[in-house]
Amino acid sequence: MNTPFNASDFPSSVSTSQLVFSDAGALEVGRLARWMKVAAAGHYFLAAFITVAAFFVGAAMGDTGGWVILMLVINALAVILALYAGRWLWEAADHFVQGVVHEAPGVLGRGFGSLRAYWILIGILGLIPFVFAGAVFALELFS
Amino acid sequence: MNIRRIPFSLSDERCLASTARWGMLIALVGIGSGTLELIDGIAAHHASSFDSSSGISLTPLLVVGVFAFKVFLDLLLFRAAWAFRKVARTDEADQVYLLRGFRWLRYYFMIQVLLVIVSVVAVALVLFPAALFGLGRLG
Repeated sequence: MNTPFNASDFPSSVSTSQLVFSDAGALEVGRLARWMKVAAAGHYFLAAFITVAAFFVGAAMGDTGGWVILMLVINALAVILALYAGRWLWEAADHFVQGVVHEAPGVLGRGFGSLRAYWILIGILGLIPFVFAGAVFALELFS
Repeated sequence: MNIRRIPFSLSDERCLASTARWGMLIALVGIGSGTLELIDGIAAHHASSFDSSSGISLTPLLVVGVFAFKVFLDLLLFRAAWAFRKVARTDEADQVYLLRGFRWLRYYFMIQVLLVIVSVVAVALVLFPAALFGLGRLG
């Protein structure tokens, strides 16, 4: 557990009200933010790709009734998830940089909030195949 | 500079600890799914080797290589999450742990992005000649 904030815990050259990063530390955060934003842009491209692919696949399927609607709903869901993932990742990167530039722990904390939202989404998506495989296995076992 | 305690608010520290938990969970799920894929790949190879025993197959090497790479990537994520956990749970050297976590996280995203780029380029290199060959045959 954390002990209460104490000014004597800090080196004398560091302000107790601010978080001071060295140049190397600030550079490290800048590099991280760049790669996070590239990854976020990848999510936006993925969303665009899914949208374009949905039109082509929908056109190829023709008039097959409910299947086209189901496919479009799944695609729309995938697009929304990809957009949210990209947005949260981008926000986290921005907050990390702003937190370091303005030496504000609160802004860094918001960055971790966005990163957590992104990881929760990725974690749930990662668990879906396990749940699906478990459901299929259970169905086969009891049928 | 080595700040022992970064003055995060209580809610921010809870958020940081929660972020670290989710990061570790994702890493462990990744390692678990990679292990299942490894077992599945080896089982499939054994089953096929009973059918045809001619030639040397590269499949096991590929399966083990993919598994090792996935584990490496997930370990990077786990180490980043572990460093963030230490920022939230200890007051030893918050800034050092924070920057260490950021470094591991950068490696994780960097390798992921490069992997996606290499995969897209590889798929394009395979698909474009195939598409051109198909068009050539049609013409």
